Amino acid sequence: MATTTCPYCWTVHRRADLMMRCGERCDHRGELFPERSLKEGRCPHGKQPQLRRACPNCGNELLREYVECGGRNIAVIGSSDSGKSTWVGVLVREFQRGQVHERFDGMTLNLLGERSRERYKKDFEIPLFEDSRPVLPTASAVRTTPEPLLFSMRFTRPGRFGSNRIEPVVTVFYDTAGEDVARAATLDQLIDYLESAEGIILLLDPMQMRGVRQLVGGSGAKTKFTEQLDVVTRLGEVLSERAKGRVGKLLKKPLAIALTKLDLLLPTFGPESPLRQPSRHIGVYDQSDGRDVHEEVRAWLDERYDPAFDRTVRSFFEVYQYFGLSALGAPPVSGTQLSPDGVHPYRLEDPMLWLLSRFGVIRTRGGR
Amino acid sequence: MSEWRFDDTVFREDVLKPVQDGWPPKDDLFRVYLLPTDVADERTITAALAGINSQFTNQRYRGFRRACESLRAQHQAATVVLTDPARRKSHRQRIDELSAKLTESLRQRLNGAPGLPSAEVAALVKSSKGTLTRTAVRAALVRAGGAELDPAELPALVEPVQWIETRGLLSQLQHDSLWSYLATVLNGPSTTTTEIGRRRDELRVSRAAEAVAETAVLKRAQLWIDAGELVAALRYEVFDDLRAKVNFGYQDVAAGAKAAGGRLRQLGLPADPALVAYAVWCARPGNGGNRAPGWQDDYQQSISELRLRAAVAVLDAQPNLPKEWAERRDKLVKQLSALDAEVVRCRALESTDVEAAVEGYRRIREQLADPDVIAAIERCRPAEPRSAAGRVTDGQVVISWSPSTSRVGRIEYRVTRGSTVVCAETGVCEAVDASPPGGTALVYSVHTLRDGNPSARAARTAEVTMLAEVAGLELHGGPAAISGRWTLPDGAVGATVSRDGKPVPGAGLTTFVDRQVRPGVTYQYLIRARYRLSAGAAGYSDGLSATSSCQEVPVAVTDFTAEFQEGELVASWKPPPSGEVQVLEFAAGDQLPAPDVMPAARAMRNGRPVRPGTPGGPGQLRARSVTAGNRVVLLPVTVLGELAAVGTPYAVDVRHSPVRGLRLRRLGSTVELTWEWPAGATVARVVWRSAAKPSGPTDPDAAFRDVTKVTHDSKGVTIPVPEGDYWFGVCTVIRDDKEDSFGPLVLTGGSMTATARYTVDRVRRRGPWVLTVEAEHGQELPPMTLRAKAGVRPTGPHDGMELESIKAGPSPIRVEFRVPPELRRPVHLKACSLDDGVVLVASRPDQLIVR
Repeated sequence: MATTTCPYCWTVHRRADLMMRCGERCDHRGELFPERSLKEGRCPHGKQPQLRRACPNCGNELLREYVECGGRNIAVIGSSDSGKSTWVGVLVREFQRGQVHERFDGMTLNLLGERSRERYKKDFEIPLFEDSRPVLPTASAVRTTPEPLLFSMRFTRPGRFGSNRIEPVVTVFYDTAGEDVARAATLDQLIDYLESAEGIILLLDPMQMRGVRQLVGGSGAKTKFTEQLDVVTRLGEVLSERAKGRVGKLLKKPLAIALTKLDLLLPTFGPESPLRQPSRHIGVYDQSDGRDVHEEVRAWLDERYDPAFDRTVRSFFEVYQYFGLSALGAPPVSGTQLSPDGVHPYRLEDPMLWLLSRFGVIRTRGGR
Repeated sequence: MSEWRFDDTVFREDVLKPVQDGWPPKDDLFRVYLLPTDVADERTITAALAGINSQFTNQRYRGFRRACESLRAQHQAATVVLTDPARRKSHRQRIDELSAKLTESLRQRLNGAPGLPSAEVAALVKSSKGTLTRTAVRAALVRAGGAELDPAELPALVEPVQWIETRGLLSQLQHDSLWSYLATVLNGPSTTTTEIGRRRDELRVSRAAEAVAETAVLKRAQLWIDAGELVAALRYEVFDDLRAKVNFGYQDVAAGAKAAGGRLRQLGLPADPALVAYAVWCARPGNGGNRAPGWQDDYQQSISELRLRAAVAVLDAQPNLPKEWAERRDKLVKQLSALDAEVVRCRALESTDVEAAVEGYRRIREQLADPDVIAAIERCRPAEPRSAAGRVTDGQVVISWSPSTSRVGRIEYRVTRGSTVVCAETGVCEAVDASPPGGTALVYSVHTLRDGNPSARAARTAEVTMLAEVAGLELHGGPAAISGRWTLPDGAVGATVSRDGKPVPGAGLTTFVDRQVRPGVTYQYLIRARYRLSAGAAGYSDGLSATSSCQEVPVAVTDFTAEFQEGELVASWKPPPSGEVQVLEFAAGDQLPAPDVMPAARAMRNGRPVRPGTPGGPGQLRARSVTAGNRVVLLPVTVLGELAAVGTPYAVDVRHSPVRGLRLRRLGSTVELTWEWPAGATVARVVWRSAAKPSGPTDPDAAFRDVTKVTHDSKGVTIPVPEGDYWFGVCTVIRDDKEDSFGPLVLTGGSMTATARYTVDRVRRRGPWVLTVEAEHGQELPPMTLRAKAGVRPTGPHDGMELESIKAGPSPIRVEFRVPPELRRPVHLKACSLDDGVVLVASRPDQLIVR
C-alpha cells in the first residue's frame, strides 16, 4: 500500500490515512476526515471535499503533487560554514535558469507551495542574487524544526514510440544548522529527519581541514573548527542506531559527499583532473565522469586530509560517492559581500544529479 | 534673712521721680516698696509696706505730692499683691520677663563691647519714661556681660587735606596705608623733608605712572610735615581704619586696634588697644551719644575741596571754639597768608619767566582752590614751536615742527589747515594730512597746548601743493585695442596718457583707447593727473604706471577624449599653448555651442562646468559627473581672457565604464570568463585572439561573442579554444539605432593546453595491459609517465609507482605494461604528461582500476 512521509514531521502514513476536509458547500465545512472515508469522491456528508490532504500527525497540508508523486526527501548536512544554505539557494537557481537548465533540455523546476516560494525568495534569492551577500546561518534544530523546501522537477523523457513524456518528481530539501552536526547530542535530534531522507548530501568544508586551510590561506576570522571526520562518523552512528538487520550491516541510504569551496582548491588538482574539466552530465548523468570525480576527490582526501576518512565512510555506507563543487565560484570579499562579478557555481549540481539518477528520475550513461 | 531698710536716694530716684513723671507704680511693686524681687519673708514685706506707707506724708517729699498721692492710692492693692504669695509670684514673673528682655536688648546693643557710656545709659533711662531706672539698667548691663563705662579721651580727628586722593595714590603704589609707605620707603612718622626731597630726586628721572603717583604722595607728605600735621594724618589713618571695622562688630575693631598696637604707641595714642577700640566704638557714626557737631562736617568738606578760606570762615563762625580747633584755625590762617604771598611772587614772575610763574601757580593750586590762581595759569600761554615745515609724500602732506620751549604742564600740539583741524592733539612733532585737497597751495599752523591751553601764536609752514594721482585705474585688453579708465582726484583738471614714453593720442579726461597695439604684446602706460596751479601754470602728478596686453585668441581643443573609470569621469586632451581649458557637461540632446571663438560668457552659458575631483596634470581631468542619466556630452572650452574657443564635443556613456575584476578559469579546452558589470550596462563583447592582444572590440583578427548580463549571471560565459596563448578582452556594448559603441576594452591573458586522451585495456585475459595515447588534433605527444598506486588514484606524475616512462613521439602511442603483483589490489593507474602544454585525459576512467 502506498505510503507518504510527511515532509514536516517525517511520520509515515498510509495514503488512506491522510486527512481531508469537508468542502465549502458542506455544513461541516473544514471538518477533518480520513481519506478512506471518501465515498465516491465525496465527504461522509455527501458533499465535495477540499482537495488538499493533511498530515494526521502534525496537521500540515500536503500538496497533491507531493502526495501523488511520492516526494523524495533529501537531507543536506554539513558543519557550520560548509555552505549548505548557499548550496541549496544556488542549486535551485541553477536548475531553474542556470547551466543545468541548459544542459537538461526540457527540465523545469518549480517551488511547491507558498511557504517554499516565500522562504526561497526571502532566505536565498534576495541575499544571493539581489543583495549580493551571503545567506544567514540556519537556525538550530534545537530551537526550530528544519523547514522543508519543496520543489517539483519535471523531466522530459522519450517515450517508447518517439513521443516525449513529462516525468515529475517532487523533492524536499532540508537545510540543517551547521552547529547541529558539530555535537553528537544535537545530531541525535535530527534522526527522524535523516531517517526519513531517501538520500543524504554531506557537504565537506575544506577550510575546516587541518593543513588545507594553511595551504590555501584562511581569512583567520574563525578559530573553532568541526572535525569533518567526526561529522561523518556521527552521521553513520546515528543512522546505524535506527537501521534494521544485524549490527554492522552497511547502510543502504545513498550518501553524496561533496567537497565544497572548490574554487579555493583548484590549484591543488592537476591540470588533467576531471575537476578542471567541464562537466559531462549533459542530458544524462554521466557515470564515467562521476566515477572519475569520485576517485579524484577520494585521492585528494587521502593525500590532503585524512586517509581514515574514506575508510570511515566505507565502514558505514554501502552507497556513497564523492563530489567536488563550488557554489559561488569565487570566495566572498567579506563576511557581508559576495564577489562583485556575481554567482558562478561550478559542478554544484553533481550530487543532486547523482541522487536523481539513483532515484531513476534521470537517465544515466556509461560506467558501471 | 536681711532686714528691710528705707533708702531715701533710691526711693527718690527710682520711685518718686518716675511716678511723678507718669510711671504707673503697679508695674513694679518690688521697686516701689524697695524690695528684692525674690523676697519671700512676710515680715520683711510687712515692714516694707509699712515703711513706704509712712513716707507718703513725709514733708521731705512734698515736692513729689502728685507721686505720693498716686502711691497712696494704690497702696491697698499693692498690699494685697505683695502679701499673697501666689499673686506676688505672678507679679514677680512678669517683672522678671521684662528684666530678661532688657538684658537681651543690652547684650545686642553692646555687640561685644565692654560697656555703655554713662551718657548713653542716662539717655536710655530718660527715654524709658520711668519704666527703667539707672539701677535696673546697670544690673541688666552686668547680666549682659558689660558695665556702665565711659571711653578714653582721644585727640580730635580731622581729615587731612586731600586725604581721599592720597589713599587712591597709595593704593596705586600697592600700599595699604600711608604708615606702610613711610615705614617701607622712608623713615616712618619721623620722616624729614630732606628724606622726601631725596626720594623725589630719585623719582624725577622716571615718567612711569607709579613714579608720578609716588611723587604726588611725597608732595602731600611734604605739605603735612611743613604744617606739622604728619603725625595727625597718621593718627587719622589709624582711626579711619578702625572706624571702617565698626560695621563688622566690636570684636573686629578690637582686633584691628590690637594689630595696630605698635603704631598707637609711636603716634602718642593710648597704648592699651582695648581703650582705643572702645573709644572708636563709642564714637561710631549713628551712636547718638558721640555724634560730632555739624560745623565739623562743613569744615571737613571745605578742607577736602581745598577751600581753605571757607574752612577758616567755618571755624571763625564757631563761638567757644575748643583750643584744639583754635590752633587748627591759626595754622590755616598762617598757611593762607603764605599762599597769598606766593601768588604775588608768581604774578611778578609772569613778565620775566612765564614757565616759573606757571610752575608756582600749579604748586599753589595743589594746596588752594582759588579762581584767581586758575585764571593766572590760563593767562600764562605756552610758547609756539619755533618752526614748522610741510612736504608731500605718497599723496599725503607730512607736517613736522620743532618742539616748544614750554616745559611746565602737559605739552601737546594742534595742527590746522585753515579752519580744518588736521590733528587735534599730539605729543610728537609730526602729523600727516591724509586727504589734502589737490592743486592748491596749502599752509599748516601748529599751536602748542599746555594742558589744552593753546599758545597765543602758531608756527606756520611754507606753502605746499598736493598733486594727487588718478584713482581707480583699470586697463582692459581687447582683441584689437587696449582701453583704460580712471577717476580724477579733487582739484585735477585732466590727465595725460603715455605708452612707453610716447603720448597716446585721443586720451580723454577719464578714459583712453589705444588701437595702435598688436595681440600678445604687453604695453606699459603712465597716467598723470593734470592741475592748474595758482600762478596759471599747469602741474602734473608723478603718474601711475600699469601694463596690459591685447587679447590673444584662444585655441580650441580638438583631441578631447573621456571615459568612466569606477564611476569617475577621466578625461584627457593636449593642452593648448595658452589659456585654461574648462570642461562643460551637457545632457544628451542639449544644444551645444558651435565650435568657434566667442565671448567666454556666451560659451559657458549653457553647460555645467565639471569640477575636478582630484588634482590632475595639464590636459587631464578626474571628476564626478553631475548629469543624471547614462549618456553625457563633454565639451572642452579654452578660456583666455574674455574669449573662449569651443572645442570638439565628446560623448561618453557611464555604461562604457570598464568592466572590473575580469577573471578567467580554464576548464579543459574551454575558458570561463566572469567580470563585474558597470552600472547600467546590459551587453558586453568578449573578444579573444591568439598570441596577440586584440586591438579593439572590432579587431578583424580576433573572434568575439556578445553576451547579455542575464546570460553572464545565469549561465556564465564559456568559450572553447584550442591550445596556445590567448588574450581575452571584455568591453561594454551600447546599441542604438545607428551603430554599436563600445566601452574600454579590459584584457587578460592565458595559455590553453592541448589535450591527449588515453585508454588502458588488456589485450587478452591475463595478458599484458596496453596504454594507448592519442592526441586530439594529431600533434606530437609529450613525454609521459604511467603511475600506479594501491587503493587510491595517484595524484600526479610523482605519486605512486612508475610503471612506464614514455618518450615523446608522434600520435598515437601504444605501450604494453604489467601491473606488479606485489601491489595491493585494487591498483589505480594514471598517465601523466611531463609537458605542461599537454594534458592527458582518460577516456574511460573506470578502466584505470585494476582489481
